[in-house]
Order: sequence, then structure tokens, then C-alpha cells
Amino acid sequence: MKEIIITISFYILAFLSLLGAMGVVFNKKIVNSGLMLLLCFLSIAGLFLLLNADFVAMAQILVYSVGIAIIVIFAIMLTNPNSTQADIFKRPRSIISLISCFFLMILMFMAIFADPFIRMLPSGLTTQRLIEAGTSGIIGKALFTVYVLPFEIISILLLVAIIGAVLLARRDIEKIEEE
Amino acid sequence: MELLYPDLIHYLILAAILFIIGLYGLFTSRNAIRVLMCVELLLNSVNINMVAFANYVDPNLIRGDIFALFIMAVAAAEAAVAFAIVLAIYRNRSTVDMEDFDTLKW
Repeated sequence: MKEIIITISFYILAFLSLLGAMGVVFNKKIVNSGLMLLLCFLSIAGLFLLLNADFVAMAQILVYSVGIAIIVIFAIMLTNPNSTQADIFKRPRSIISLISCFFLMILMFMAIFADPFIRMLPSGLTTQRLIEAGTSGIIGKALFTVYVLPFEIISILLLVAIIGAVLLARRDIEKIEEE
Repeated sequence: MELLYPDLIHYLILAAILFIIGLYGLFTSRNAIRVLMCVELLLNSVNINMVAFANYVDPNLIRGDIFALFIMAVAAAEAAVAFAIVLAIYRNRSTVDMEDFDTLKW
């Protein structure tokens, strides 16, 4: 019974995430593709839950589905969404990129099917422990012991990026005063 | 039923297809905002790979989950700066068409 539920929800979530990705790329209106991006992010959060990664799933919802989706929608609002120009490049370019993407996909599938890792399954005991205790404890312990230096560097990077974004996005003060 | 049950390989295939869709959009879209959305799709498909490997190969230490969190933080920083740059370009040239960003072309 549990296997059937996991299987069905995996295929529903995979279908929704692929639908969202296709919607991002092929939608005519840029606002609709922003909303499809939100659908894709939410279904990927569901896939993380299926993979026993509860902390990463919640971080996905907080960072991607809320933070980045809002940034995207504000950027669409502040630029001109009603432009009439064609949104896809001219013929030869899209055909060339379709062919190269197709060959890259074949290459990736060959790598996946040649992988020795795919026969490895988690032992029942550790998976059961992950489900019972959650991953937050393991992640928190690792972040503050082994990965403490990357963690601090990431926090500085975020601070610098936010200050840089504010500096880039605001209008010049002299110009505002002239008006 | 045995073959359909989601295993590591199913997640890897899903992430590969998502990556390819994002890459195709990255190559073909003309709107700069859509290009940035496709970059987010690429980062997300890599995250699926990370978490799937952590769950199936390394369930004791789940190092893949931690790397997925780092990727998310970098993606958030990248999105903030990239959209600010797009807004700055839009204010100067009043377009977000990739064809019109040709200041460096001579």
C-alpha cells in the first residue's frame, strides 16, 4: 500500500514539475511562465519530501517558491510585460539548440545507465531512522562542525549580494532630485 | 510495478529531462527574465540529483542535502543580483530583449 502511494505521488509530482518547466520555456506570456515556475518549484519540494529530505523541502518552499518567485514577478512587473516582439529566437538558432540539447540528453542517459550507483538501495534501518527523526538534526550538526567555514562565507555572500542588488536597482539620487 | 517504483535512476532521469528543458529555454528565449528563470530551473534539477544521491547512497550523513542548501543560498544571491542588473539595463535601454543587449558588440 505504501509503495503504491509513493509510486503514484512520484509520477504526479514528476509530471507537474515537467509541465511547469515546459510552461516556463514555451509560454507566450511572461507572467504565465512566472506562475508555471512557481508550480515547478512546489512540485520539486514535494519530490524532496519523497526523498526523505524534509529540511531541504521546506527550504525549497521558503527560498524558491516564495523568495525567488516574488523577485521574478516583481521584475516582470517593473519591466515591460506587454512587448509585442517574438519571444523565441529565429528558426536556425532554435533548431541548432534543439539538436544539441537532444544529443546532450542522450549523453546524460548513457551516463545514468552506466552508473554503478543505481543498484545501491538504502538499507531499511537508516531510511527508517531518517523518517522518524527527520534530517534537521544531522544537517544542523554538520553545518556547525564540518561545514562551518562555507556556512559563514555563504552568509557574507548573501549580505554582499543583497547590498549589491539594492545599489544596482535603485535610481540615482541626483536624478530623483532633478525631477 | 517493481520497475515503476521510484528508485535512484528515476530521479536521475527526471533531473536530466528538467535540465535539458531549462537548457533549451536558456538557448532560445529572447526575454532576459525568461533566461534567468531557466537558470533557476537548471539549479533546481541539480538539487534533485544532490538530494537523490544523498538519500540512496549516503543516508547516514546526507551530505547531498547540505550541498543542496548551499546551492539554494547561492541561487538566491544570484537571482537578486541578476534581476537587479536586468532592471538597471531596462532603465537605461527600455528593453529586456537579449538581441538588443549589444553594447559590447563591434
